Order: sequence, then structure tokens, then C-alpha cells
Amino acid sequence: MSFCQPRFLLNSVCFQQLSWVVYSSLLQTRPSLRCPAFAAARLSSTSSKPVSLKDRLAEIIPKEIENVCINSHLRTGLHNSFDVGEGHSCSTRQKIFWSRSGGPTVWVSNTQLPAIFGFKFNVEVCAVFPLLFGMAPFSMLVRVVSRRSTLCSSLL
Amino acid sequence: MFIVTLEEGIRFRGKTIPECQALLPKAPGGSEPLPEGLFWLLLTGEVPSQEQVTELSRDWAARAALPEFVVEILDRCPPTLHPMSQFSLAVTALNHNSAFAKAYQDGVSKKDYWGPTFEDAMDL
Repeated sequence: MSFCQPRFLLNSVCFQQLSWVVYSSLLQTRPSLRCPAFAAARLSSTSSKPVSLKDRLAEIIPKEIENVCINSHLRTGLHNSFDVGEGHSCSTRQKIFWSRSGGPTVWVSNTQLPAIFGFKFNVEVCAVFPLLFGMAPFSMLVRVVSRRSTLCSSLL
Repeated sequence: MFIVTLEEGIRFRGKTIPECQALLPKAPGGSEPLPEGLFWLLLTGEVPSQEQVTELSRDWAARAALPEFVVEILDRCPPTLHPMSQFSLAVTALNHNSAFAKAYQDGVSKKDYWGPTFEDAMDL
């Protein structure tokens, strides 16, 4: 299944974290995505937040864990592939994207996270924009991953 | 989560103390933010609504009672024992009711650690 098919976007963790800018650009480039379910899902994700702290964390933390897993797979996955949830996979270089500021401005590879996560990496910084602009669907994923990695980046 | 700069002092989730004072919900008639709001901010990175803070206050109040055995431990301490030592004893003893310890014993998945850890933090 393609990254740009509605089912993938609706079901994946990536969709839940799409910014309005990314969503708008998708609509411009992919008119076929203009479906009511897509818009309804986006609105529901921003219009209501739970009152309970635990319920709110239950929304946030699994996504952060997913980000760590995606990043881990980017680094350690075999044959340059990694899972992005829902049984999909994507080919890429074995590098990790990371950002403290929310943008895809930092490569972090071989970074060592706390042992509780069980992942081992080292820090390395370089520009990623040529790669991002060269691979549209993947750059979307990277934007999402890096934008929402607050928990992980706070641990670095 | 915390950043300290020479000019601005500490930042909580990117917000300075004056920003926290301005943004976080306050008690009725109060001028300073409630600790519940700061707790929410630290855990989620979001400024909570008044309703969310009220719910969190209610939750904390519901967990306020000490287990009886902890009270007994404190009562048996010599009056000359330093208060921080008594506090340390009591916190350590709360492990008896730890949700995380129980979940870990039951083999909870690593990705679910946060749940019982959160419960223990809230109880504490």
C-alpha cells in the first residue's frame, strides 16, 4: 500500500501527527485525498482533549514510543527497511532524524539513549534537507517523527 | 524538560517562570499557578485547562490517604529521628503498594511501563 493512500494516512501514527501545513500540501498535491473521513479525523484529533491526565498521556506516550521505535528501526533495521506501523514499510538509509526545535534539521545516528529504552546510538549532526526534499512521502514521515519527538529529545 | 539560562533562569518545557505564572490555571482568587498545572505541563508539554487541573486536583485528593502500615512505621520512629529520614522511610515503604512493582512482577511489556509508573507517581 502506498504512503499516499487514505487508509495509510488515516490509520498510521504519522497521520495523527500531521500538521496543518503538511495536510494542506498533501491536498494540493494529492486531490484524491479530499475525503470527508480524512477531514473529520483531523478535526477530531484537535478539537477534544481528555480531562484526565492519564488519558492524555495515553494519547501522547504511545506515539513517542512509536517514534523511538521508528528511529531505532531506521538505525538498526536490516536491509535498509523499517516498519511504519500497520504492516507498512519504507526503504531509507540507515540513519535517524532528530530535532530539538521541531524541524528536521538534525541527523542523529548512533545516539545512546537511556538504558530503559534499550536502544544505543551516537550523536552526529549534519544537514538533511537534500534528502528530505528528494523523497516526498518519506520526508513527510520524517517531519512527523522529528516534530513529535519531544520526549525522546529531552532524554538526549 | 528543564533548561536553565543565565538571563532567564529556569524554563519548564520551554516556558519561563513568568510565562508559567501567566499561562497556568490558578486557584479561585489566587494569583499563583497551581502545582497541578505545572505537573501537567511537565508531563505533557501542554498548558492544561482549568477543567483538567480541577480533575487532577480531585485525583490527587482521592489518593491522599497514607496506607496504615506507613503510618505505623512513622509512629514507631524515635522522635529524634530526622524528618527527612522518616520521609525516606515512608517513601521506601510505599513500594509495598507499588503498581509498577506488581506490573513488573506480572511481566508487563516495556512499552506499557509508563502506566504503572504514572500511577506510582500520582500516589506519591
